[in-house]
Amino acid sequence: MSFTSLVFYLALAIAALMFYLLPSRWRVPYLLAISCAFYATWSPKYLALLAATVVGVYWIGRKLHDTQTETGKKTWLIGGLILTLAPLVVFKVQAVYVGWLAPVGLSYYTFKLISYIVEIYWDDTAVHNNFVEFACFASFGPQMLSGPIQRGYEFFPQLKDVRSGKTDFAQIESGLSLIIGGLMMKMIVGDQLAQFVTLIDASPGTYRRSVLLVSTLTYAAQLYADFAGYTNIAIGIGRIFGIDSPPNFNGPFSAANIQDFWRRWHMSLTRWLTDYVFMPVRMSTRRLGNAGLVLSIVLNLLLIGIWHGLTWTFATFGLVQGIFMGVSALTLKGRNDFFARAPSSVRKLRYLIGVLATYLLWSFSQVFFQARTMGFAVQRLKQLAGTAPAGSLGFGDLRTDISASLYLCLPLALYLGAGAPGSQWLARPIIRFVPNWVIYGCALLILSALTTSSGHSFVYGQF
Amino acid sequence: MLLVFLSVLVFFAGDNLLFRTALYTRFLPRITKEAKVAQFARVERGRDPSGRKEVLVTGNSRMEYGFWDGLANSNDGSGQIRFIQAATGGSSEKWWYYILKYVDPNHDRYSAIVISTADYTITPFWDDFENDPETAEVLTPLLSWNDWPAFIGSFTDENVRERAKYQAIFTSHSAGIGMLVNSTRILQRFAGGGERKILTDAGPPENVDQLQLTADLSTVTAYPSHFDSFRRHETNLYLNRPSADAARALTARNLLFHSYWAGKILEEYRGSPTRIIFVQMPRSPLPLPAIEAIPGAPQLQANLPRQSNVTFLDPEEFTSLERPQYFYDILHMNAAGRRQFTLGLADRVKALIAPQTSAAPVSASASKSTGSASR
Repeated sequence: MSFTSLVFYLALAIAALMFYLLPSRWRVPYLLAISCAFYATWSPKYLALLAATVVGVYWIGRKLHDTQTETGKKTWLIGGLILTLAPLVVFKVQAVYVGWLAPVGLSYYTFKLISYIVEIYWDDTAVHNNFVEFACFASFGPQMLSGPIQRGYEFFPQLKDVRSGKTDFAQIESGLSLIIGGLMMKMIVGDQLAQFVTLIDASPGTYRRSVLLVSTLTYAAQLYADFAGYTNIAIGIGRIFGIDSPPNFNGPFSAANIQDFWRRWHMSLTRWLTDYVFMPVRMSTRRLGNAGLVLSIVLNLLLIGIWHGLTWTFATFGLVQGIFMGVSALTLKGRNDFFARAPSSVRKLRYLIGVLATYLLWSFSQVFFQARTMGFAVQRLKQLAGTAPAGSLGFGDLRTDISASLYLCLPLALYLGAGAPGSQWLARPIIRFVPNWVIYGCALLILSALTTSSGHSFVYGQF
Repeated sequence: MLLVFLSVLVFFAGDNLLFRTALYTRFLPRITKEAKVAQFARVERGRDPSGRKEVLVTGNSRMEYGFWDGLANSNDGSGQIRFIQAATGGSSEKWWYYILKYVDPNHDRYSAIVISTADYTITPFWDDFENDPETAEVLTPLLSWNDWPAFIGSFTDENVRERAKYQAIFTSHSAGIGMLVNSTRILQRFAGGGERKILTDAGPPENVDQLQLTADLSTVTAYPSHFDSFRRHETNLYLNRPSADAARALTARNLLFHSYWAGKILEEYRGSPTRIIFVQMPRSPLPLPAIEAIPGAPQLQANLPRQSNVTFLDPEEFTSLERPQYFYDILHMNAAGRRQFTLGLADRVKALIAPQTSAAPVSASASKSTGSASR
């Protein structure tokens, strides 16, 4: 059941109602049951794999906690990593050669479980002794499809309130508004932009260079609206059940350099990789100085790339981002020192140029992320550079609804991606004078009226 | 719970008030299909009969460009016949089935209904008419509750069917972002696309004399000066001949569609005093490989039920207009063609429904004996 289907929300309403009618001691097991039921609507045959992995990791976690020797701990750690990573690696590799679809949510619950084991290795007190709660953490429905990737130490304390029967109406309402906002972001902004991008990608040789350039720049905005929209829905659903998830985005398009961008984009994955990949690698390469730093950065981003898929395009995407970030990391201090002495107007200009340059670099690397093959990516870059022929159709030749969607939704996506500055000030008079149920009702009407005729699936659902 | 209930209430109130009553179409300029069809249907249904023999002319953009009701009516010296141009670009027999159900529920409003076809011979046209998502968007305000199950079931594409289901419940789902654009002239001008209509009453004066192709009709070597990039692209599309297998499959699919929905219209008018008149439009100024009929292609007439109130005009009736001088682009007629076709069709229709009032034919097919247009 997709987050964009009516059936899902009917089921969600019933599930939420039953959740709050149940005696509080049954709420956590109930959460586990509906999470498993939700998972089964996507991948019923892989529910057994999820269950086996969860049981295995729970058992290994207990063993890891109980073992006193360093060698023993390392053994259980490695065993746990193999248990969790093996299915992910197998499915990612076979996707290249055989083409089977990986189980839904495999990456996301794998990362959660790895973080759980590693945290126990680092700190004994991270172990959780309640299997039902652990299973609920690992399989929590809203986070299954595309994250956010939550840590155990963030999740478990919240179950205390769930068990106690506490009902936070403000949290539920904020969840509802996040869901509506997320749906609007995905289905109006993201899907409308997807129509334009898909149209151009279907026959790029037909369109002028200017159209190809705008399409390339639009894809980044589309991806943000789609992914951030999904994340908001997932966080909103979690809040309805009393669970708050970590944010995944923090205005990435307002970042003035690549490092800051990755601190604001897919934050839960970046944080995970920083804690469990980058830092350990950096520690082991610290003697190499700046070379070690660049190596750690490139490796980290290369992993981000190939996590999306074991293809040359995704690897190139990661490599390109790694190079950008490496260069930025090596030069950032020098640049900051230089501009520290400059007048404030120059510093502001620097910020604006930085924001623009960061978005352009991100969009450029997205050519590889989006391309089906390296040939396609190279051909697009050549067309943009003017060394390969482009077509003759321009913006005036687009269907009215597609060009209108582009002109309306692209600025909106960029504004939202920049953190929606000033939105609270803009919304204040509406919120002050209009009852929230009227706002939500009108939002639903706008959502219903402006969605595209053919919805697009969540882009990050495939990873 | 109260918050959810009230929000949903506001939503349904707005959905039904604005969209199920088609109120929103009042704010759309007629150029949009949603507004055109909704406003036409509403006005036509509510209009008192004119007291004359009324002839409804249906069809897609070919008929939109090809027929000028004002000319037909002014040319009718008897004053007993009134032609009503209702053709809408992108429409199909499926649309007309539901539109006619809405505007003529008793099947006795019109003396004649003209149904235009691109070709009596079924061609391998590539558009999937059955699953055109625009169909639901345009027809939603006209459908009654008991129309919806069959309407939803008529879509064979699962995604389109799913969307139609949503539109049955939430009529606002039919609007689309086009509604937002088309509701303000500023956005329209800003976002104006390749579908700009240049259709005035008289029709566009330009023709396609300057259109030159290679001998094998695969490549354009010269475009008319009035062809913008959109029309050039469209012209090129019609030169891509499909494979034999694809052509057969498309022909079969199109036969199923046209015969089914035209048959449903005929079924509605069985035993009715209304005469249903099929006309084959002038097809194009030159052969179009992409939609060239396969050998032994089926004929629409042979696949429709025989009824005494159904007439198929001679397919050669207007082939003399299939010349570059009568076309604005490869599909649509220009002012000269529009005039000739209008007068010719009006005369043929008058001869069928009011023979005592028709003048000597001044029809484009007068030159039938001189053979069809050069290709």
